[in-house]
Amino acid sequence: MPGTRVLLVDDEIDYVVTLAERLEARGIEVDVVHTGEDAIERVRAAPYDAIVLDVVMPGIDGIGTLTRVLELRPDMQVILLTGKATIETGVEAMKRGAADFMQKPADLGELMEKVQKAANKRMMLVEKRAEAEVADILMRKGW
Amino acid sequence: MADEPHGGDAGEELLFFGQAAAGLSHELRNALATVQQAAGLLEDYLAAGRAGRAVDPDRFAAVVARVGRAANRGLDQADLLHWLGHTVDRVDRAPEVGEVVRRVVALRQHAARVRRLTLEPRVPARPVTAVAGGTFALAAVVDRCLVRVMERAAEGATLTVTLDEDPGGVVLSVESDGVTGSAERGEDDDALAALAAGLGGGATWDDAPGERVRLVLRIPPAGAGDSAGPPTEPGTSPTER
Repeated sequence: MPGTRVLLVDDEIDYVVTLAERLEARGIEVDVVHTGEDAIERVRAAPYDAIVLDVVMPGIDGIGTLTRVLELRPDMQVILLTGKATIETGVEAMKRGAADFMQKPADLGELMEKVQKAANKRMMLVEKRAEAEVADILMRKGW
Repeated sequence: MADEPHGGDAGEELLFFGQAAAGLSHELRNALATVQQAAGLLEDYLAAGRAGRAVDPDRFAAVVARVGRAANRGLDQADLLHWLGHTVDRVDRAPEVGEVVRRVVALRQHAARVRRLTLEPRVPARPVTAVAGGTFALAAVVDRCLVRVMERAAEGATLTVTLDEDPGGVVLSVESDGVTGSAERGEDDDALAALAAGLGGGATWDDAPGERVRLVLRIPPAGAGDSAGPPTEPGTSPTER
């Protein structure tokens, strides 16, 4: 877990700042933004191991942000955090490419598990892509 | 539910009640989520203290301040929920219109924030009570007026909700300074017209194309009876748009 980089995106400032401090106390490196637009800019600038994204936000909502983030970085692992964790919301989130979803307020232990799982999956995807790129280079060079 | 009719469109009234209750539940959940995380963080601080690690008192103070804000917000939402619940069992002959407008605006604050809209109620300090119909029917029609204008307002717009009185009764104007263009006329306007008619009044659009969206609701005084009808207003009625 230490060294894992997470982006928290939520317009509920007091909530997300508190959650960030608790995650940081457990060795996770956390950035916080309060809009979908800012999240997209952060992701454009640098990858994260996982993004925890609120669904209901001013401007671009969570689902819209998820779509844009995955366009920029298809291997990004996004966990949607919703006040209405219905099956419908979950199905919609997964259809759009979310790694997982959970109901707000998030249980810290459960969130940590999901973040860990997401970070592991992203690492695996990055390694796979690197292996494919190496194989491609070797093939092109005829080695 | 009371034995008096509440207004002109039961389905539309139910929609108002359901949306308002869901919005309050969302806001309460957010307030409680902050309290829950803050409690967890204070436990973290305690654990750190017991392990002999110093915790900056300013950090405690910051968390306590967050809890206070969340508690106040939750109490405001609980107060609104209490009011909303009792709108259906108070078939007042004289609801205080100013309070109804203020409460309905408060109920829609979250939805407005999500759409980056600002709601500005302008309600007279004096009581405005001279309309027929119950609190619930009045709240439903005020809410639908607000929602219709919010649907047509551009992101970032300010919606001014002005309550006034004239000899014809009560006049509520909901005006947006930003316009996305005309929304399609349809069942929503018809439902609003039915709700307003349930109070013996009428709702009319009074737009200035490209400049503002404005919806005017007129409700006649209590006792005006069937003869009052909706007063004439420049612009077009929702069913004529």
